Amino acid sequence: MQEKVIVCDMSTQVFFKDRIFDKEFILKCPGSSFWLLLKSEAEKRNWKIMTADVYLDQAERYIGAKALMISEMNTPFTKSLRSRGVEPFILFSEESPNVSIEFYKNLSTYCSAYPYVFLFPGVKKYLSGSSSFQTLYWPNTIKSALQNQKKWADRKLLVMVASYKQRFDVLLNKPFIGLRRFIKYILLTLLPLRYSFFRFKDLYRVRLQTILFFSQKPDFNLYGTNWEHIPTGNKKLISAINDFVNGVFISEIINAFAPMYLSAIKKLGTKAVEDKVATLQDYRFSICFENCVFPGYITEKVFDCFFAGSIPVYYGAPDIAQFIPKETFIDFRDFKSYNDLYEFFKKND
Amino acid sequence: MTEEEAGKYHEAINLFLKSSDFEKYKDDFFAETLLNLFEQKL
Repeated sequence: MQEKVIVCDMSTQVFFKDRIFDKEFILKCPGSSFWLLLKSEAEKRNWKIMTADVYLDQAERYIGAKALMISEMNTPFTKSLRSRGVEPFILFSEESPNVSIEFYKNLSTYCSAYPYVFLFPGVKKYLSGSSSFQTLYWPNTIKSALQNQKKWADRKLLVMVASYKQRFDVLLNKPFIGLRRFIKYILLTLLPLRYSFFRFKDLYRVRLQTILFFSQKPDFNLYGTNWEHIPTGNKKLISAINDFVNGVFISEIINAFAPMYLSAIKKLGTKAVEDKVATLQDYRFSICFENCVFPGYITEKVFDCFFAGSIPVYYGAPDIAQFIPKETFIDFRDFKSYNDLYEFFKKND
Repeated sequence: MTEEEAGKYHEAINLFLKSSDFEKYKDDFFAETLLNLFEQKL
């Protein structure tokens, strides 16, 4: 009987060596617990399932097997897998276009080999070819709403749980070495001018503006990592250019050079959280911003608030109300200013 | 916001979490969708 194999072609190194099936590890990775379920069901059917690196290490063993790949965007293994007869079958992405530039820049090329692609709805209009488009609904690890949730009166006012990142972080985190590399960074940062796909609003900067405002209030807490890495020097310049390209007001360019954000972060103090949902349940409201404004781009962030009983102040997918009832969240876009939002929280309190 | 006003949000959240619309945002829904596709092909 022909052996049947699912090859999980992951793009992120932390998932190699079958780590997607390591329960303790994978439950810490948002949107990844479905791998455990898939493996369990595959084994019931006597199918082998493994990551691409593991498969390639023992490919000889599977000569003659029927092998299908499920790929996480573009990966270093896809070509080798295909040359060994593994058939591209499903491609998916849970990553925003603010992060995975290479994949979204060459979307149609990467997707064309796969009969099925699972992506955020905003991507659909950029796809050509015969792949069957499937909406990627963020696969949450199911936590029931916490029992014995804190009473309203016992909750603090407002929290943001997020790590510091900036647009095209992958590029900006590398050190600048030489003029050529600097020029390359500038060109890549100007991607939105060249590719309409990348003309969406970056919300990393909006998070900073929000922190700046609420750091002046007594009842706001910030959790997360990397906040001490607010850009300095050339990174500030790139960040400012990003804002300019996104059509943000010129004052934001000036702000990019100001030390105010770092001062606000220092004033608030931040720390990593062990359990995000448990942290959120201490608060009435939670600032819940996606990484960017992109149609259908809805991740675990809003659901984590729901599980904790913290009312999300949402900004991200412009079409969120098509997917999630608008009565369940506060729409950040409804407020003209941060002051208005603050007054909304405090009214009749 | 008063506790009563907040209660309306909480009620809507709980309704949504129990609704069929939320089913597709669960890990088992995605796993099952993938499994069905693999099953057709393997």
